[in-house]
Amino acid sequence: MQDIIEVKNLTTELTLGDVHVPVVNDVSFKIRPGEVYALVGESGCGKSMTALSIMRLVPEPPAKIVGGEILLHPKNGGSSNLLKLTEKEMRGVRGNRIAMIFQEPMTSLNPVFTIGDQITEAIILHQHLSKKQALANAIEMLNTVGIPNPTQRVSQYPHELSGGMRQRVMIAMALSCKPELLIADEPTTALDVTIQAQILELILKLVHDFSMSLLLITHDLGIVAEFAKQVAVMYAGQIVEQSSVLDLFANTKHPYTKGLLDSVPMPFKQDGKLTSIPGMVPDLFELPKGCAYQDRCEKVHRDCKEIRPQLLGKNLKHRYRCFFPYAK
Amino acid sequence: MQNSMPLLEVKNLVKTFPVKGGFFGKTVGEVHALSGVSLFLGKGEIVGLVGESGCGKTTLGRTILKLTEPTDGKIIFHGKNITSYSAEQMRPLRREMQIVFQDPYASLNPRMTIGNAISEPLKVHKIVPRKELKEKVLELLSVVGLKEDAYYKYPHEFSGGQRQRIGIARALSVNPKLVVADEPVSALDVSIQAQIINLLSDLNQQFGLSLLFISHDLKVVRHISHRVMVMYLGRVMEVLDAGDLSEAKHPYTVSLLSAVPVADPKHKRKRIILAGDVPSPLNPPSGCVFHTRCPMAIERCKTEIPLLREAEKDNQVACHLV
Amino acid sequence: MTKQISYVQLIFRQYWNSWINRFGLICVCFLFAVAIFSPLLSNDYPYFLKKNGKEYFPILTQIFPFSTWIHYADLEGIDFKKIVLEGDDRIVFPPIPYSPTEYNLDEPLVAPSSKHWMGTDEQGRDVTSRLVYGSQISLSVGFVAVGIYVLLGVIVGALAGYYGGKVDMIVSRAMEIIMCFPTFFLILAVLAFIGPSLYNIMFIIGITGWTGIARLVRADFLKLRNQDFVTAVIASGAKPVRVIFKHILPNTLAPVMVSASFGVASAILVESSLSYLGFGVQPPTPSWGDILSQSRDFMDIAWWLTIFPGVAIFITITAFNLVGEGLRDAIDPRLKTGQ
Repeated sequence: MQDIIEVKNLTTELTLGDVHVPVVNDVSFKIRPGEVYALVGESGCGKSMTALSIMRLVPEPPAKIVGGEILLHPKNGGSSNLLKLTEKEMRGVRGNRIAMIFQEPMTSLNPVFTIGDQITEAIILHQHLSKKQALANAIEMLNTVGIPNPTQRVSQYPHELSGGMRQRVMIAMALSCKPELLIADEPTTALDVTIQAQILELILKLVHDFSMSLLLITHDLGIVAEFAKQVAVMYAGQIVEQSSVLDLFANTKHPYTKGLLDSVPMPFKQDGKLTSIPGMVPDLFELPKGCAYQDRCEKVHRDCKEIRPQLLGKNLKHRYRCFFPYAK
Repeated sequence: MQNSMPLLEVKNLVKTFPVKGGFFGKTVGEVHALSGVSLFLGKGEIVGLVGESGCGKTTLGRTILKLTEPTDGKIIFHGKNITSYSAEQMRPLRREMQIVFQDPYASLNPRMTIGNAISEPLKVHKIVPRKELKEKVLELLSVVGLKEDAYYKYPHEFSGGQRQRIGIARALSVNPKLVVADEPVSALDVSIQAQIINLLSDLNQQFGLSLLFISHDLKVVRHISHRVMVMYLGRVMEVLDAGDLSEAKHPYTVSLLSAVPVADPKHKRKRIILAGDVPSPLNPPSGCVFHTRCPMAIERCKTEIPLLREAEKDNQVACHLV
Repeated sequence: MTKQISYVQLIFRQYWNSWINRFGLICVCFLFAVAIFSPLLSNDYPYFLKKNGKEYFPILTQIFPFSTWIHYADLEGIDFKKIVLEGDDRIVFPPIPYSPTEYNLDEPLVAPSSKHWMGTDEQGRDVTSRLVYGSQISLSVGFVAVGIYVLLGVIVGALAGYYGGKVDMIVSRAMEIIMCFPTFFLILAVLAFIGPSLYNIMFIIGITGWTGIARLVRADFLKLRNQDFVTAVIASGAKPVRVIFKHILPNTLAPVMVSASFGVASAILVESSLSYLGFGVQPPTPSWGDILSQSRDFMDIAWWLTIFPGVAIFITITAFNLVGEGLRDAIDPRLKTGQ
């Protein structure tokens, strides 16, 4: 089956003064139809920037997409490179073929418009329906995302809803035009655990029902393990390990992935000291020569300080950016 | 740990916040932040306090430190009933109880060097002579794993994790007996979280520091604590040994546990997904506050408030069904 | 890592980045220099006099009028401008060899020339000299008045913001009432009662101007008192005075400084206006507003009496406003990169 989206060597730079640093550095991945692809990493690793680059919504300046290709392959054929589209053509893609939901349900809804206004806006824009039909569609969407009494809710304002409800509204808005790809940027980070479980279950169900693909951006390896099929781990703007989820957990190669896994306390496993990664995420403006992870790595070698490792295994299912990976 | 002398005992603590409204600022309602919470914390013990937002865990931490005044109930710290102590009476006691905050960016004064920020409590209580202040601060910095050159730096020069270490050093400066850690790792990245959790664990083991560890993250709480207290809407649902969490009795604890994603794709289990939102503490449900979301609720739960009682040794549960 | 710099240095760097800010600050420094060194810049006593083989420093008697160790008995009553020099006698005058009150009825309303750079007024007093000394009046009114109201405003605002509740209610209502008065006419009315003098002007501006500062400080305190770092200090047992002045106040000072530099400009303007109306500093003390006031009668024949003090006031006000503007931009957290 053909991939729905193919990101090839995407590079996005951040400019401060006359210094340019790649915040997204040579990132490539493919997502298949109906697949959940996770992008995982800590703050500042470039995972959100990758999502914004796909939407062509990077804040410009200071950031700018400087290289690579983002190929969108629709089901009915005729691929297009998103980076080559005009701004007008891109507007037809955003919200319509690729939709996005954000971390902060409090700030991503406009406080002065009703829920109904905000959902129908996208429907009217992309599907050219009448206001009445659009509202009917909106109510149906609210029902789909599990909001009780949708006919009354459409005339409510965002502040009248709880955080979980707002995130449901965001999902309804994102799905209102039945996109082929949904990008969810930390969709549950601001929510309580029990609400997080509801929302993740809901997203997964909808991805299945609407036969969409999902790019799930998260820092939580638990969410990756439970919901995703393919995964890419990012560090300092680069993908450091990329494989199927099962393989990543069972056969961890990169020391950073291993470090991340070890620093999460397991809810059912035995105690003992957590293995933490020493130091902190390096400043992108002061990246060392060689491997970006060298200062925190337990397996660091002389070569790591001199040569920047490439993502090995071009045609393999499991790729990693390390000279001294862990053996199986 | 259970039999050690209690450092802190909280009995039936109640805290309500008035909600003001209207032109003259009349009280139009009450937020029930705490409705009869009891807690026991032994010397050298870490009690984890877990619950969702709005469950009153932060209010409990601040009320214990008397940073907010309790509405009713008793707080007994080190044998002294401090419930009605005035701000003046509390002042000498403050060196025995300290607090670490969630937001490492808001908890440090941006205009003060780290050296000054850490030595501030020492100056307030005149614990160390002026000449030895710097030496003591440098010692504290090394305890929390920071370099000496941090002394003259300002907060904006540090990352979130490092600031959290500074916050911990400040709390430790007066050799407190009790530290309330209010979501100390929630704002941090996973790899940094582990560093801070390990630091707090070490301090507990080396110096016998007692810790009230407040968090919404059950796996972190389980990892660091000896005992875990689960709260929901201002009430205690269950208190149990951290190691026994997987055998929790209360439906809320069970569903909370099942909602935590496990970083192991082979781990398969049945998820219990709670429906609906946490009700508003302005108008909590009657009977058991959890009955509106409880998958096992019966008629009795709607009318009668379940009391916290010993279901098993070291396991107290507030549920009619246990 | 980056070299360690303090907050003040950071603001200064940010400030110094723009040429217009630099210009404003240089103007202000220049004004200060003129005010401080005015007795050296403009004086009818020479710096140095060598006569009959004896050396004198007559200007010192002006700078230290009460000192006993400089006393030239043989110079008493001498008019230095008419002194006759013989042999190797020498005399060195300051750049402006006149005092501001030294009148010369032979030279009334002289146009600017190499002798009187900015001309003279109707009593033959040198306008340059009067402008130079007038800067002392303007700056001291500006700074003392603003100093009084910043102090008042900070204390009142801090108490209202920190304690909230009733204290805040009372203070806020009081501020609203004071803000309703038309300040300038209030000042005029009060001066009419207690009599015009430099100190009264400072006092009046000081006690009517504090509301702006108080509102600023109160708002900041309301915001800051619930910040974790303040709670941490309270939790460590510090007394309210320490919490307010050592921990919260330094965080509110930057906007206060901005407001104060605008305040200095407006206080100088108020003083000039009062002097112009005759309610200000009393003659013969030189004041910019006073010179302008004299110029009314000679507008058509003596343009220099209007232009020079007008330009002096304009430049001073602009300079202080530029400094205020620049400071405001420099402390704007959105511009701060931490680099």
